[in-house]
Amino acid sequence: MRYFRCPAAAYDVICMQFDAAYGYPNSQTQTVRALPERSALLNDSEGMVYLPVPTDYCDYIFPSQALPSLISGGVIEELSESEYMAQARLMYPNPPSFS
Amino acid sequence: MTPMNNRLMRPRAKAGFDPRTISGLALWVDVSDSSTLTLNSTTISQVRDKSGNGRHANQATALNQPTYSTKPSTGQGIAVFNGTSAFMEGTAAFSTLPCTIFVAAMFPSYKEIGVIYEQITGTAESIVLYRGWSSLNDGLRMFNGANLETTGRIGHGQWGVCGGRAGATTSTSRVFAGGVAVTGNAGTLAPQTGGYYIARWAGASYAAPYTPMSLGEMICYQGALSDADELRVRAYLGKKWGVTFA
Repeated sequence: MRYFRCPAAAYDVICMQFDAAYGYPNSQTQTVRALPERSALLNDSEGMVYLPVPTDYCDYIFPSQALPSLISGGVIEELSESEYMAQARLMYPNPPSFS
Repeated sequence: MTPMNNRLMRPRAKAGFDPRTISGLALWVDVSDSSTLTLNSTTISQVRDKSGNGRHANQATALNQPTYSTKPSTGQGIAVFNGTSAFMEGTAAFSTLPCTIFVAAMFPSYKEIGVIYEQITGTAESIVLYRGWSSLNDGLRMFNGANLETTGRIGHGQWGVCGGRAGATTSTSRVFAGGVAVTGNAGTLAPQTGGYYIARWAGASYAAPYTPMSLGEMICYQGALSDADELRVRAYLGKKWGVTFA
């Protein structure tokens, strides 16, 4: 897995770029979008969105071309797994329970 | 009396077990049946429900789609949920208690609270079949207001048949894994009917809500099956997915 963080507005633009690259929405494959909606991801109080991405997905043609420039341009920041999980636990400090 | 073929007047060929022959079939997800799949390149966007109820398992977001793969020993189609982003969702299979879930799956690693199937409305949940719970990381639980847990274990890295029955009485509540069935500890919470998730715990804010698993087949019945019918379904899945105990 690779982990990324970016401002919400930038995430929305990246989503549109990915959708355009893959031709989503695509009714034939019943796929509406490439990346999850912001509401489905970790969002912190400073307006940052956190996105875990499977490594093999990052190796697909479009992501492998887009990611380096997004990172080097400062649009998105790559986090380590421990940094991502630390943020996640900061936002969800209590272990969940069914009982 | 042996059924006869009307035209040839000879016994019909014995057919394999069909889950539809047991009443109450609510959801049947069979990834090995390629005619039920919609693929998005190497990932799965839909597994159509073979029960006839239209409760298809969907995932319209590419990054959240499970990967389509094959079971190495048999070549059967499977859905690989990566445990970090993949899940599927659909229309709730159950509306009342009791209800029964059978699953043929492989779990590649331990996971504390790895939801296999759950029904939710918003963040309220009831009918949650999930794997793992602190020291019971390779066990199985069914939740419908109370937790019933297995004494049998699901080894990680090997295919197994597991499942459970959520009922309002101890006699209708049951979970089974590793060839062992446990009865009792019933909850009374009716199913949430907003929808279902496979491989995602959506009922709680949790840093790691996704379940790593390879799913072959899931069969759900509205109602409590007889012991004989339950064994038929377990045997069917066990034979089909190469699990000897079933």
